[in-house]
Amino acid sequence: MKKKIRAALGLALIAGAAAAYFSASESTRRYIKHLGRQVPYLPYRYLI
Amino acid sequence: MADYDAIVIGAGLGGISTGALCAKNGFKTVILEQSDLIGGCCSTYERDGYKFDIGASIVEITQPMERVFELLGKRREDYIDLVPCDPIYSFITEDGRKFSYPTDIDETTKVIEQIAPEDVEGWKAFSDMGMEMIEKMMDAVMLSPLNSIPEALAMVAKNPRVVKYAPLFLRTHQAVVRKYYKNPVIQGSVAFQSYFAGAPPELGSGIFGFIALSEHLGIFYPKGGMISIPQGIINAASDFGLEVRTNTKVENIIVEGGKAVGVRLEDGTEMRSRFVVSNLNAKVTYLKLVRPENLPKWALKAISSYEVSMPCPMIYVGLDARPDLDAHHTVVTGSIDAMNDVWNNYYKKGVIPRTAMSLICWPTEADPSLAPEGHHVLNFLCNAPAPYAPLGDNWDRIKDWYREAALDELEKYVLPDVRDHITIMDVSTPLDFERRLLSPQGGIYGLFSDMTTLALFRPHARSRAIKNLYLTGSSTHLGGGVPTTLASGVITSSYILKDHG
Ligand SMILES: Cc1cc2nc3c(=O)[nH]c(=O)nc-3n(C[C@H](O)[C@H](O)[C@H](O)COP(=O)(O)OP(=O)(O)OC[C@H]3O[C@@H](n4cnc5c(N)ncnc54)[C@H](O)[C@@H]3O)c2cc1C
Repeated sequence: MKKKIRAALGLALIAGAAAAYFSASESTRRYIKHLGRQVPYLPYRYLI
Repeated sequence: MADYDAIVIGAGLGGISTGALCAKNGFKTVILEQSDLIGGCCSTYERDGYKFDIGASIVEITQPMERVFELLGKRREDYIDLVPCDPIYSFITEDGRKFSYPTDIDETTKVIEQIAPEDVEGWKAFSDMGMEMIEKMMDAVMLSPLNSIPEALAMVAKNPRVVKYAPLFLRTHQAVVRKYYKNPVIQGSVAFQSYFAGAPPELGSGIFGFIALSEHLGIFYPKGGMISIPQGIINAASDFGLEVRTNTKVENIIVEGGKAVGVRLEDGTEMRSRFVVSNLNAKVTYLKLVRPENLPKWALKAISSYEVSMPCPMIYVGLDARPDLDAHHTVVTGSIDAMNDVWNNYYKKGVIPRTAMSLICWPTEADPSLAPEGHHVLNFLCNAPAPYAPLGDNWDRIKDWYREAALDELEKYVLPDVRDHITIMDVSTPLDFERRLLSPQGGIYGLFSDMTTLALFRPHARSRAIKNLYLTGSSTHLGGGVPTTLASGVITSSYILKDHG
């Protein structure tokens, strides 16, 4: 039961994020995409 | 046996302020500069009796400069004569409207009231909140080391009120502007500064939204040209034995056992030192001077992930007539959307923007001695990025075309018959800029700046990849700018003193 709730919550979160993304302005979407490309490098950047 | 305690590569503001403070702290210091001039982007060259500023045209937020002199135990006024410039800007909008922002905040309120009464409250809230923030953040964020989580926590513990402003780092420049202003003309007048930090309003950090306010603390022009700032610092440090060599290009940083132990010059000469400071773009420092084979894998991945900052062509003009301007800086501005459009649909696609977003600097207004009597100097730059490699073309080939396009703009905004009054003119394309300062891709602010490349995420002043290597200047925290790079000198020299003092 707990697993199902967790899965449902996870799905709802993803759906919410997708809805927020697609209802955002073009400009905000570009910003989110930009951040998406940069974030994976943050741990390395922190070190150098 | 080391020849020097400190070898500083590059005589930009970061290199000079770090070098001067090292010398003051008793380190035998030499600064090696590849060009024939000191100052890097904050410099001035002379031609036929005219003095042209290579890059920076003004200094605002003078505290870091004052701090450098205070640490040197000297009075800034004895070395650099700063002329206040008021109004801060004169604006020309896309539809030809003109207005100016005076330094005085109340006077600016009156200007805003005339253009957009609906934004007066926003301006008041912006200036009240912003002035308090600038005051609180100056020492805490600008002049303190902020290269690690423990340092950030120590800074917050010492200045708990800065936490309130942390969300500004995470917001975008345009979000901050739009929070306070509704009118597109007013928005444009406080949003174009995002390009001073090298990013469009939709990507730049919200913290830079307050550049538009910090200017109201006063903007200043140093008598003799922008080179007077680095020259003044060198003069002040001459008592401490600071040595500066121009026309001396460093080819490599010598690394032995993971430690920087000196440099190799272009002519093969080796110079040894206890530690090395690089004022160069961090990508050049690590990838060309240190070289990938001397770097751990994580460092290679980190440094390769940064983009260099945007380039920006400039035109330097000598005139035999007074230009029709009324401020040191005239900004031809547009809407926030237009500013983003230049980035996304021109710069990123390799197209030169055909849009009027210019910054016209008129330094002879503050210092007539920069030109022969009765003559004037204009430094004209497109306050939007232009691609380093224009699609299907090369800047050397299109230089003449670009000059004519810029003259058309000057004709429109400055003097209708400007071509008849030009006595001298130089064009500096991104390629020229790269050749002059060895700045990769002609980038004008070191590395691209946004929330993912600031503070903890910008290359650190004390390298963790190479022992005894220090970085200073616009590739380090807080990025490009006269005050920020002078502040980087204060920060980098404080690490050096801790490690080697
Ligand atoms: C067009 C333009 C306009 C600007 N306007 C303003 C403004 O109005 N106000 C403001 O606050 N800021 C402004 N800035 C930003 C500011 O000028 C810079 O951020 C700052 O001066 C950079 O200092 P830096 O310490 O990073 O060194 P840099 O200026 O980048 O200097 C680095 C130095 O290293 C030297 N060098 C490079 N390679 C080698 C090598 N291999 N060996 C030896 N030496 C080497 C270069 O020749 C250069 O002198 C402007 C910049 C530009 C380009």
